[in-house]
Amino acid sequence: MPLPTNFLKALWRRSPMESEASVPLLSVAGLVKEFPAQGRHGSVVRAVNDVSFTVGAGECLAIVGESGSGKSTLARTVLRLIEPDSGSIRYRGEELLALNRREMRAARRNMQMVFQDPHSSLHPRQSVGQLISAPWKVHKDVVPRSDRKDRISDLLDQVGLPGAFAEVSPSRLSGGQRQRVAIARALALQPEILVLDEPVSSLDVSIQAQVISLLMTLQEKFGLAYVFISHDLSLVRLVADRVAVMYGGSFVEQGPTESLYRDPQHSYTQALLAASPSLGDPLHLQPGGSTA
Amino acid sequence: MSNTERIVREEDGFLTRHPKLRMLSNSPLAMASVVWLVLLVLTGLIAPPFIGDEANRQVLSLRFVPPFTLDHGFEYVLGADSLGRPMLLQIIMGARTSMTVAFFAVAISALTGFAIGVVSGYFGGWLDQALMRIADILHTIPSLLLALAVLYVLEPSIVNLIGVLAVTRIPLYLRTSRAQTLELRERVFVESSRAMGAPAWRIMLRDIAPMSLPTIRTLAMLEVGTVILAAASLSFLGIGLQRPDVDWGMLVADGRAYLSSAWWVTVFPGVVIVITALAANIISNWLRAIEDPVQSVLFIRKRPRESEVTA
Amino acid sequence: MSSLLSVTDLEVDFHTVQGRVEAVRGVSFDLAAGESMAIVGESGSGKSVTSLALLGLVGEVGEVRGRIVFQGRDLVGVPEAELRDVRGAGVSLVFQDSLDALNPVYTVGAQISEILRVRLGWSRQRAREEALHLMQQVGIPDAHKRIGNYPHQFSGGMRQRICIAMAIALKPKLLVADEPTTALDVTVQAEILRLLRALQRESGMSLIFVTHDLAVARLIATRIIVMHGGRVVERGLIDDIFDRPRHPYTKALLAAHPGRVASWKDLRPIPENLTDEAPVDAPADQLPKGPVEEIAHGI
Repeated sequence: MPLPTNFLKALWRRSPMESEASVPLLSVAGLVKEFPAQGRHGSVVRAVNDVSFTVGAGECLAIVGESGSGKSTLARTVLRLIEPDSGSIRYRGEELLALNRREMRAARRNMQMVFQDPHSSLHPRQSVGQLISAPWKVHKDVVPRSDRKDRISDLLDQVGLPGAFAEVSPSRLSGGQRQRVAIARALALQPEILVLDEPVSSLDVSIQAQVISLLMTLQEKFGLAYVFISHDLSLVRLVADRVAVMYGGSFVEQGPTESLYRDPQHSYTQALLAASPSLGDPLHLQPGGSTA
Repeated sequence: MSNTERIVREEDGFLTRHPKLRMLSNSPLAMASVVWLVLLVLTGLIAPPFIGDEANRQVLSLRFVPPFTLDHGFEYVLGADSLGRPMLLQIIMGARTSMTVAFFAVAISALTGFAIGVVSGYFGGWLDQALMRIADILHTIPSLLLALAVLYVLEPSIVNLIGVLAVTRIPLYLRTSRAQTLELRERVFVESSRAMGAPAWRIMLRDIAPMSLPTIRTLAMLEVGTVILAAASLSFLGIGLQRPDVDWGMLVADGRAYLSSAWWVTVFPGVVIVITALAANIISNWLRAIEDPVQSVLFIRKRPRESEVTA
Repeated sequence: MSSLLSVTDLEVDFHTVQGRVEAVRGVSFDLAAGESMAIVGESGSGKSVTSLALLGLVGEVGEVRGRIVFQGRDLVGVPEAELRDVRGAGVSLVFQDSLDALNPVYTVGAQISEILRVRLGWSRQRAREEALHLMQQVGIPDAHKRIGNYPHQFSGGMRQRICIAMAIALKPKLLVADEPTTALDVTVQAEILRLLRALQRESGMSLIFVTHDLAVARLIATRIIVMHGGRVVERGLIDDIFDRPRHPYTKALLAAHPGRVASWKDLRPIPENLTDEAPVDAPADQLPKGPVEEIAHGI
C-alpha cells in the first residue's frame, strides 16, 4: 500500500526537515579543474573554469553543453570522483573538499550518480540484485542485512521493474531497463541529490520518455534534488527548474528554464537553441507547464 | 511480437538447456581432447596405488619385450624398457606425476601472477614500476635455464620442480592481468563503485578480478601444455625428477639410447606428451572461441530439420 | 520509372544459443534514384540489420531470404566476390561509430587513397589528389595539412566526414547511413545532415538514413518507413506521417518525443503490444512518382 508522500519524505531525510530557504543543499563556488594540454609541454587546459552554482532541495538544475564543454568533468568533480584544483563544494554548508577519505566516503551517501551508458555502468557479471545491494555492503549501517531482500524488491518496484529481475543478469535487459536498474542502485542509499550525467542520451527517443517520466515521478515522490547534465535542449526544457549553459569550461548563461528558452541572452545559447531539431512549431506554454 | 520476443525456441531437451555441452558435442576435436584429459586425470588418480609396485619392478627376463602382444599380460601391451618394466604402467605413473606438477605449477603461478598484476595495475605509481621491473628480470632470463640452475643447486624433487616452474612463469600472468586491469579500471562500472564509496580492495576483488579471470583461465590451460613439456625437458636432461618418481620426460630420456632397436621405449611416452599438450591447447582454443559471439555460431548452426520448413 | 533499389519480402534470421532470432520479417520498399528515405525504429526493430543486409554484410552469421534488386540485379545469394564489386561503387555504408570504422594505425589520407588504388587501380599520386579533393568536398578545413593526420586526431564530427568521404569515393548510386549522427552533438549533427543533403544534390545519389529519432528523419528524408518488431508498420511521405500518423506505433513514437510535448507529464511511453496491429501502407496516390523535390527545413 503506497505511503503518503510527506511520510516518505520524512523517512528519506535523516535530519529534521529544514526550511528550504535557509541553506542550499549544494553550493559550488569557483570550481577549477585543469588538465595538462596534449602536446605542448607545460600548458594546461581548464576543463572546469571557475564554475559556481547552487542547487536547492527538491530542485532540478540542468547543465547543458556539447562535447568538450566540460560538463561531464564538472559532474565528476562535484562528486570528487575527480579532485578539483581549487574551489569549494558545500553540502548543507559543510565543505566537502576538507573531508578525509573516510569522512568523504560517509558523505557520498547523500550524493549519488547515474551515468550515461547503462551498458557499461553496470558490472556485466553481477545480477541485478547484487548491483542494487552493492552500496549497502559499503555503507553497512543503511540497511540491515535481514531487510535487504525486501528493500531490493521495493526499489525494483519503485523503478517499475518486476521483482523477478533481481536474479537476472543485466546483459539480458534492454537499455531502458538497465538504466532503471542504475537508478534503483542510485536510490539505494537514500541520497538527497542525484547527479545525472546524460541519463537518457544512449537510449532510443521513445524509451527516453519512460525513463524521464520515472525520474520526474521519483523526484516528486522523494523530494530529490537533481543535477541534470544533457546536450538535449528539448529534453531539458521538460525537466529543469533552472538551466546553466556550459561552453569551454565556463557557464555562459544561467537562469530559470522558461526565460532562458524564450529569451536567451548569450549568442552560444541562441546558437544551441537554433540547431535543435524539433518536431513541430514551438509550443507556447502557460505557467505550470500545460499548453492552452 | 515485441522487439525482444522474436526468438524461436528450439525444442526443449537436455542439450538445449546446457548450451556449452551442446557446443561441445558439435566440436569433435574439443570433445576428444576433453575425453583424453579426463581419462588421464582419472587413471592418474585411481591407478597408481594399485600398479605402483608393478610399474617399478624390474623383470630382467622381460627386457625389451616388443609391444602389441598380450603374451605377457595386459600390462606389457606397450612393451617393456631396458629393465623389463612395463611401459603402459610407467606411462600411467608418469601421468600422475605430470598432472600433479602441471596442476600445481600452473595454479600457483596463475594465482600469484594474477593477484600481483591486478594490484600493480590498479594502484600504478612506484609500486607498479617496482613490480614490473622485477617481472622484467624474471622474464628476461630463459625459464628453462633458470630452472636448470636452481635445480642443480637444490636437489631435484617434485616440490622443487613445481616451485621453480611456478616462479618462472609468473610474469606471463602478471603482465596479462596488469594490462587488463589498466583498461578495466577506467570503465564506468568501476567509477560507479568509487562513486558509492567502495574501497580499493573491494573494487579489485569484486569488479576487476572477475572480468580478468577468463583470460587468465585460457592462459592457464595453454600453459598446462607448456609446463608438461618443460617438466619433461628438465627430466629428459636429467635434472628433473629421479627414480622412483616417474615422469614422461624421464621415460623418453631412458629410451633414447635404444631408439633404433627398441623404439617403443621412447616413442610411446613421447606420443603421450604430444597428445596431452595438444589436447590442452585445443580445449583452451575452443573455450575462447565459444565466448566469441561470431565464432560461436559455427558450433551451434545445424541443418534445418524437415519440421522447421513451414509455409 | 524503374527504381534504383527494390526490396521485396526481406527476411533475416540469426542463429544463437537460445534459438533462432527472427530479426527482419517481410520488409519491402522501393527507392528511386536521387531519393532520400529514412528507416525509423527503436533498438531491436531490425532497422540496422536491414541496412546491413542491403550490402550483403549479414550472410556470414545470418540467413537472408527475399529479394534485394539493385539496378536490376538481385543481390541475395550472390557470391561474395560479386558483392564486393557492388559495395562502394554501387551501394556504400556509413556507420554510427566513426572511430571504430577507421583504422587507427593509418592516416586518413592513406585510408581514403587505399579505396581508389585498390578498386580503381590508380597510382599513389593520383589517389592522393582525389583523396584531398574528397576531404575538401566533405568540408574538412586545412585538408592539405590534415590529410596526414590519424583518426584519433579528429573530433567526432570530422571523423564522420572522413567516413562519408570514404563512402562516396567511388561515387556510389546509393548511400546507406546507419545512425551516423546519433553520437554527435546537435550542432555537429546539423552540419552533417546539411553535408549529406548537399552531396545528394550534387551527385544525384540516393540516401537511406537509419535513425531512431523522428525529428532527425524529418530533417533529411522525404519518405519514411517505420519499423517495429522486424516489420514495417507504416510508410509514406514524411510530412504526412507527422501530420496524420495512422499506425498506433507511429502515433506512440510521436507522442513519446520530448520535442512534441509541453511537460514531462504529457510524455506517453510506448506500451508493449503495439505491433500486433497490421501494418499500414500509404495509399497509391500519395506515393511519389518521380524524382522528389527536397523540402527545405531551414538548416
